[in-house]
Amino acid sequence: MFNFIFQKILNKKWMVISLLIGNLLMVAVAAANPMYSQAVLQRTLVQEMSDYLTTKNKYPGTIIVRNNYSPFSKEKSLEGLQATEDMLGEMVDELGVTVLEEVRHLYRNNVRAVHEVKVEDGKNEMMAEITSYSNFEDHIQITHGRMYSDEIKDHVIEVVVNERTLVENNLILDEVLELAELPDANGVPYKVKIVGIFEHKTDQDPYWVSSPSYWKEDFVIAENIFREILYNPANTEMGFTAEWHTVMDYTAMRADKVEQMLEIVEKYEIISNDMKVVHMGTYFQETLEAFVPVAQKLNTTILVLQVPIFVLLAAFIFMVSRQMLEIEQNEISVFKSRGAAKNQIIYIYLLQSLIIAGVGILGGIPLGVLICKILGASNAFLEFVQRTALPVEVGPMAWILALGAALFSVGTMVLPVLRFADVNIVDHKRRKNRAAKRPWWQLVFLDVVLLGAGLYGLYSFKGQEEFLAQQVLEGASLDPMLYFSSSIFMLGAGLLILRLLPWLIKLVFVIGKKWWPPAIYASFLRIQRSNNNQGFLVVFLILTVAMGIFNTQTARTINANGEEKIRYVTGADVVLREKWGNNEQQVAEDTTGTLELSYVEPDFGKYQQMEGVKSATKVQVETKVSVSVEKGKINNATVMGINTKEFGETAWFKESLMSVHWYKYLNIISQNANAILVSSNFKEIYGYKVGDALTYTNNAGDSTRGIIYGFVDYWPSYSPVTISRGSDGVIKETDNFLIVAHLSQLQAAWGIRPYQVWMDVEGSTQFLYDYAQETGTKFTVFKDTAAEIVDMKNDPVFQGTNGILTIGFIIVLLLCATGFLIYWILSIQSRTLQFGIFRAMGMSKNEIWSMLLNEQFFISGMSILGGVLVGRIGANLYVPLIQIAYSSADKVIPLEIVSQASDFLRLGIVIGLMIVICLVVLGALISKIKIAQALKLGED
Amino acid sequence: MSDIIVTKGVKRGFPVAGGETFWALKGLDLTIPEGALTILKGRSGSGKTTLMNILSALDLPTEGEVYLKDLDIAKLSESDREKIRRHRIGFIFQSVALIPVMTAYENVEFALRMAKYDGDRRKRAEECLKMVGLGSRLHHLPQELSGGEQQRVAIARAIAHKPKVIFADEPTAELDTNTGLQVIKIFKELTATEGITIVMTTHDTELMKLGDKVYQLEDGELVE
Repeated sequence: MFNFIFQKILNKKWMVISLLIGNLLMVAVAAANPMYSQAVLQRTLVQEMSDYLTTKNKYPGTIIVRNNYSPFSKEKSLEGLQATEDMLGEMVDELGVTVLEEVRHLYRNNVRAVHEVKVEDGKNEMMAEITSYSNFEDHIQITHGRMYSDEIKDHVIEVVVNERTLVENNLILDEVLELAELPDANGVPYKVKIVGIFEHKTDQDPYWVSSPSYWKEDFVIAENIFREILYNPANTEMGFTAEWHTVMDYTAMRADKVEQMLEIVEKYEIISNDMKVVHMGTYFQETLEAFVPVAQKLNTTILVLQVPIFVLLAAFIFMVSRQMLEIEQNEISVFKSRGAAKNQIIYIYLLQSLIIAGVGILGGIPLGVLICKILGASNAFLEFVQRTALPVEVGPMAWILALGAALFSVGTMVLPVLRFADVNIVDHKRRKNRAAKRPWWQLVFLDVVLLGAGLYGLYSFKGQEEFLAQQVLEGASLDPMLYFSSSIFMLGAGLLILRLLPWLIKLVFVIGKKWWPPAIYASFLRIQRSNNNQGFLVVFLILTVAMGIFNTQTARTINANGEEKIRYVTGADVVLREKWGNNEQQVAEDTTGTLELSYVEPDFGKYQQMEGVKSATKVQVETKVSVSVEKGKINNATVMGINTKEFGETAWFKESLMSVHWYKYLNIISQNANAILVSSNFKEIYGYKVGDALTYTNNAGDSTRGIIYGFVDYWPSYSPVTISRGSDGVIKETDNFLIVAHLSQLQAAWGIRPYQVWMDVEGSTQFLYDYAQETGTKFTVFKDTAAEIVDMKNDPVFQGTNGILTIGFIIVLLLCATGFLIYWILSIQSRTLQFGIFRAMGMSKNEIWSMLLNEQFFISGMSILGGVLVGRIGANLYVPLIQIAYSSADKVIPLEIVSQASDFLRLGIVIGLMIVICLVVLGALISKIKIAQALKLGED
Repeated sequence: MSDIIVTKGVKRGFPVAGGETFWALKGLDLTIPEGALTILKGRSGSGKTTLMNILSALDLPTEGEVYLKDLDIAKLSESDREKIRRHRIGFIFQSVALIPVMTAYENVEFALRMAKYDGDRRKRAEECLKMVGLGSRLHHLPQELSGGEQQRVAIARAIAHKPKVIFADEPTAELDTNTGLQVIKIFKELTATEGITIVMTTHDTELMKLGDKVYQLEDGELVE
């Protein structure tokens, strides 16, 4: 049996290879889905954790448990200590993350320590904290003296201190202090002797939850001594505190275990509460909690974006297996007529499909890993950068989905057999003789229905942009229905084209019927009269090309829109404001009321001089400016004071935002010192006209006047409307008003007030960070467009979307190429006899070529054109809505559908390449055709 | 009666494993009379199809000369042979070799297009179909016709452009005796009325009697 199937596979190698490609891709995509989202989430989680480390300077994998122990009974205290420690141990075990450090810190503070040798002119005692750390010696080094011993001699306990404790308490090495309130069981007080000074070995040691450099009263002793002396019957007021710091390796935390970890933490919070533990907390809980919705959002987004790819893959497998069956139909019918049972035939095909799917799984999983790795390096759509490799692993979810995909594909391959297996040779001939009828989908107008459904989806979302924006504010992901509508639309459009294409071909054919050379005439008849499989190829090509284009345009638009929004809202490459000195304090203390607030202006010129700065300009931005208008008062206007020429050179602005180049506006106000530009809502809401005067008052109560010279819809950093969610949960829109005036005029009216420095920077902005670090300059405003764009690109949902769209595009290209090749190669192979007839009738090879080229043009060419058309229309209709899921809700700048020529070029190259390959293969096939053999004449 | 085809010492060899040559035709000298039905007979493997291919300019002899009228077609280029096939030769094949996407009428008309027929193509196509007894069912696709009908369309197509010679390779092999007989009758009529030369192969001894001239081949050689 296996031999037979093996032979069969060998005979149909083209088919089998393409089925294999389909299976490989399907399994790879299915497996890549969970692997990729897991890996992206893992990277994000670790990133968030390390951000926590850098911003808060706390090691994020830390669990802290603190408890007080009463001094009543030594045994009870030690028992309690052990119980708490055991609980922590269990919790850490359950969390299952690698532990870096386990620190047990015992301490008793406010222990009075009296100098044995009186200190001159100073306090003779201090309040000390007696403390012990487990494994202390491994993390410090002794700078003076020696390490403490772990034995008490003559009631003297040896301690080490840090430098700060030594200095601040006027201690000296080898000095002895008496702990008056810490006696032994017999009431004899212990003494401490300072035998050494220590410092911590390294700064970046997770061992130290609080850095020893801050300690100023700590006497560190050996832990066994601490345990020995902690029971103090003489002083029942004083217990001791134990604190455990368990530091787990945050890079070993797993993104897929986050919810579990949170549950464990919560469980132990309850347990520790029941145990009356004073404090139980972690440094990672907050980060993990914030992470959960991000993970959910990413998972949904990836799933939604992947469904169309799956559908396409399934269609591909279905198409190829049907083509294969079509060719094998004869064989099946013969088997059938010779008495093969239906089950046997199905069994043969099932076995064959299982073999193919099995190979698909074996190869598909590594391919999936490869896809993830490639995606890990993707920065934006089809852009790859060198960055840390994505931690890809083949998890159980990947296996399950891969298996599911393989089974699905087996189903797709076997399903058509059920139909064919019933047909014996007589039926087969009879069926063959029946004229092709219209496909069922045309009869039920599936194309129109799908197109309608897709457009209805679009229409119903169209009115709800605000609602979508609101959902995004609430953290929702891309709406699956919206994305599916776009896919359904494309499918419907593809079918519609398939319905219309024959009419077009017929029209062309009829128009030139008299003049067509015989070869073209024959090929036209063929195109018009051959069976449904050709239709499937048409739809398949339309869909792949349309999806490819749709993907590129979606990704490009989301990326470009995100970037532009950042550039626009920031206003320039860098916007900063130094901390300005002022006489606020003197003004407050001034009782005469005559002293006015004045500022110390930092040097501006240095920014112009910095290497890397192309241009810099002063921009005074005053918010909460009030403007008296006819119907009342605007309180939230923003005034921007600029130097027109420099501003024009420095600020970022997209010219297409306004019908007139924005420099024109700058030129208009440069004519008059009092000229101002105002936002268009002054005109729309309050009816202002050019030439009207406007009086506005800053938050210090100073007023000035300007004459309106123009209205602007957009201006660098200006958002006309802000959408926000109030405390009551209601989404509201706020109109923002803008007045652009001359900086010189503002300074003349209001005095010198803090202004921002806007900069146009060439290349990296690193020099600014270096400058701030070197000089210690503090900024009250610091916006770095490049850094914000990097942040945006690192957002997991953003990254995931680009990644999946990139995968989708690549797969589309692969499928398109293989599907195309398979179809044509098989179609031509099956027509060898016909070519033989044509050749015998005197048709030259060139004429055969022209026949095939004509077919290519009308089937492949038209489909590809149709695909481009459908993809572009689809993108224009749906992308504006889809991108809402990726942008903040503010309708800052209008959306522009972006397409990048290079993507079309890529698509074009691939399509061109596959046509060339196809033609080469066809050429080989055609030249191999021996007319005589083709006609079965050569029997000798 | 003059001869339309004359061969001189035609040999055709095929390379076989071991660098040797298998000689399918071992030097044939024969003549095909014009306007008559010539039958080539022989068992399969006797070389009759190879001979047909060479006579019809589909294949070239390894050695020897093949004169169609006074033209040695064994010396012609591929494209010149294409022209000969297009204008002066018609084919009828064993397995029905109609273009499946064309109707009976279109199949015939297509042959006229191929041969750049000057006259009224429609009239000529209909005329030919009538000649083979297919006055109706002109606009059916081949798959909708019976085997005999299909073969008749093939004959109509072969004669449409008024070729000098028609080659028919086992034209009756897939037909029942009666239908086969009818086909041969049509051939006889064509030779008589249109003056066409027909060369056909067959191994049906009944039909052989109807040939004006019969050649028998055995192992690449003529047997009298």
